[in-house]
Amino acid sequence: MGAPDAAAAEERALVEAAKGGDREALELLLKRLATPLYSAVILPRVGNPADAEDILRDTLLRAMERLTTFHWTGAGLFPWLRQIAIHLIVDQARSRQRRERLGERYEHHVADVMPLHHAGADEMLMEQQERAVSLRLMEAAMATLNPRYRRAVELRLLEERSREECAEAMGVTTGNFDVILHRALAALRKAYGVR
Amino acid sequence: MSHADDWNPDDGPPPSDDERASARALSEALDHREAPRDPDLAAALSVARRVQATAHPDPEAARKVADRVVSAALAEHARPAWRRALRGRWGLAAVAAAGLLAVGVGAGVSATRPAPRPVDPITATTAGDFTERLGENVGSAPAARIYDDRMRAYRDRLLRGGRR
Repeated sequence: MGAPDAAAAEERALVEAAKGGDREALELLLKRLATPLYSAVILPRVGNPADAEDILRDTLLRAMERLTTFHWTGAGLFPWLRQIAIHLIVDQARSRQRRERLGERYEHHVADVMPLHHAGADEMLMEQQERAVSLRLMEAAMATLNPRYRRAVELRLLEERSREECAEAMGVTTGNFDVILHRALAALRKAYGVR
Repeated sequence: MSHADDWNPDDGPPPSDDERASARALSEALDHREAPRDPDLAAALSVARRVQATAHPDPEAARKVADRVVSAALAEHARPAWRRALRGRWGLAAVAAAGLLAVGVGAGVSATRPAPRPVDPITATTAGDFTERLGENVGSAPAARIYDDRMRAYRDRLLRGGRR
């Protein structure tokens, strides 16, 4: 049995044990999968760390409540957890839309760009695959921006420069840079939707 | 201070004072970790945080958060179902609302209960006068007591000018 097969078999054994009520197996599984779920799936889609933590907690609780309904496939447990998390993120965004009575309607794309996971995959590999998806989504959203707006986002958030450095780089006052960034983020919010 | 002269038309229409204030608030929020209360500002900041989380992940911080949340979720899942139903802000809010309702109903019931009537001193009797078991050789003592009590109350009322 090759290494990936052994890892997949180990994950399957842990899942079956957890379904049977083995708390240690459940804890091992969740601790392994929660980090890439939080870091690479939830946080890049939610932004606010407090909201992301709430989503992670609710995802895990829902998964534990429904674990007996999970049927093993070669992809392992992670895609199932991921789907639960994405649905909770979409629900939160819709709820917020209703509360704030936003005029815009966002597109909601659920798991349409899910990477191919396989059972027993290394945690770092899962994180890299999910991060690649998030990066593609971000780049696609940035590509829709006015070039000046895109430059403002790149300088301030990707290159992490101070607002004074950003203003100088763009040849504007700091106050005007603040406005450009503010407009850029409003446009980026529309471009992002909830994906 | 007028900003109209230094605004580049390539960046769109000149901003209003309100927009400048919002933009400034966003700029300050980016440098601090606390979440703003204003929903528009929070939404803009959330988008910025999404970009930052995508471009600059912090694996160590993420692991600490994930481990903590897993432990808390496992502990919560181990509780009885009725206690799990109370989890979160809405569960606590429901308990608080139920408590307030119980207090309010209690206060309302007390408020609608009729106040005890002031006792008319003339008709008041001592507790045992009419129910006291007649004993042997007591004669008219109980009746005399009642008469005395009532006459005393009547006299007191007259002296108070008829007030009860």
